[in-house]
Amino acid sequence: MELGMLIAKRIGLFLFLYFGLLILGHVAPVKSLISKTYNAIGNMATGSYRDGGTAKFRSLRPEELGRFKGFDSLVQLSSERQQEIAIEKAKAEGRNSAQISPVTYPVNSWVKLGMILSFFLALCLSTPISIKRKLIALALGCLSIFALVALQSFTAVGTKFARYYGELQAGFSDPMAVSAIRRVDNIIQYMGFSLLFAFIVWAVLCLPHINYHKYSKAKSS
Amino acid sequence: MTKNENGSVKSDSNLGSPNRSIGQKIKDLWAITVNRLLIQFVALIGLFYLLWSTPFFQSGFVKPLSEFYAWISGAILSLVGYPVKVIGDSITSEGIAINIKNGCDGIEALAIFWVGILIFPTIWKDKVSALVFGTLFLVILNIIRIVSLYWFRINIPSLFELMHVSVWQVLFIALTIACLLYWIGWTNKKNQLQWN
Repeated sequence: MELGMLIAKRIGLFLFLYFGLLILGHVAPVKSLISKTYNAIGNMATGSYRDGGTAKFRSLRPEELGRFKGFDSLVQLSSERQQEIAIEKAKAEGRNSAQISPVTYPVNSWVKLGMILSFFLALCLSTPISIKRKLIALALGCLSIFALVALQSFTAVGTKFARYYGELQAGFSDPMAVSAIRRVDNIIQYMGFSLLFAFIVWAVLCLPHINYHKYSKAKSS
Repeated sequence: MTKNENGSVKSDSNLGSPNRSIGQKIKDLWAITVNRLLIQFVALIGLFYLLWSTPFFQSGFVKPLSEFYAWISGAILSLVGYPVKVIGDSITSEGIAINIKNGCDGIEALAIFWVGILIFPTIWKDKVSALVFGTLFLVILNIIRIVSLYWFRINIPSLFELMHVSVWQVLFIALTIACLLYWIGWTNKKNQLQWN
């Protein structure tokens, strides 16, 4: 039962830390920071797309929160070609101004970023390794998670551009490229994949530094 | 730590001189057991996702599994006083429907568990018993998840999304990892594998 107690203690510590971070993550300043970080990563990864496509990640305005319940960020897709078409149409109709309707979809930044960071932080902090190792793991792990979020943003936006190619005429149009992006997107968008990714990053950065000898000696003493 | 063929172990903290070739460095990394297990784990999980993304796997394994979960959860809910109707992978009643979709089928957790069991170097008897009992545990855990989520959907709908996304997903993965670690410790102790 000693081994069971050892694992139970560490899992207990992990759950305590994770649920603590979960509660903290729903407090306004932290939630807003997560949202801003997510938007910044999204904009960096997808600011400009092929053939003049643009994607903009921003926080929902207070008046939009009712319409997009459960979400806090909005992604707006548009393109230079969409603008040109709108201007040509306005000129043909004798109007002085043109209107475009960007393609939009909402995102929950806590689910996409905050939860994964909380899971990873709780895993690292509950692992029996030195503080120095924990700090290194936290720094490298957070960067890895940001990279995953950037890739998720890229494939999500790419999939949307492909779906609305007729309207936006930007992004990938080659059927093989579109199929590849969709397949990757189908895999990496799921929460399960993100958690698994965070687990693997934790395993690579923390597991080799656990002093197993100390625990096997403790078990046998 | 690495295990020699005679069962004794050697410390692999000293990886030799800094003038080793890349091939030698890769060999030295591979010689460390934890590194080897991690590389095998990542490779097999990658293979799992390649297989998971195929229509064959989705229609041949994921869909029947989701329908099984819906059927058995529906049966339990009906037994405990929540009459429901099960249609495919959906549990419905009076305007409320829960679909067992990707993520709610527990397949990623099963993949973590199975891959961990298969790559860990121990006797096959222990692996088979872990695969059987561990899988049973995870299936029961997933049924508990689905039933509890339905309960929240009916009784405390404001907490449903929180429980569905932020609580149960992480709890499920955490318990899977705990199960795997416990089995590793158990099989180590049982077979008196030496880890110094």
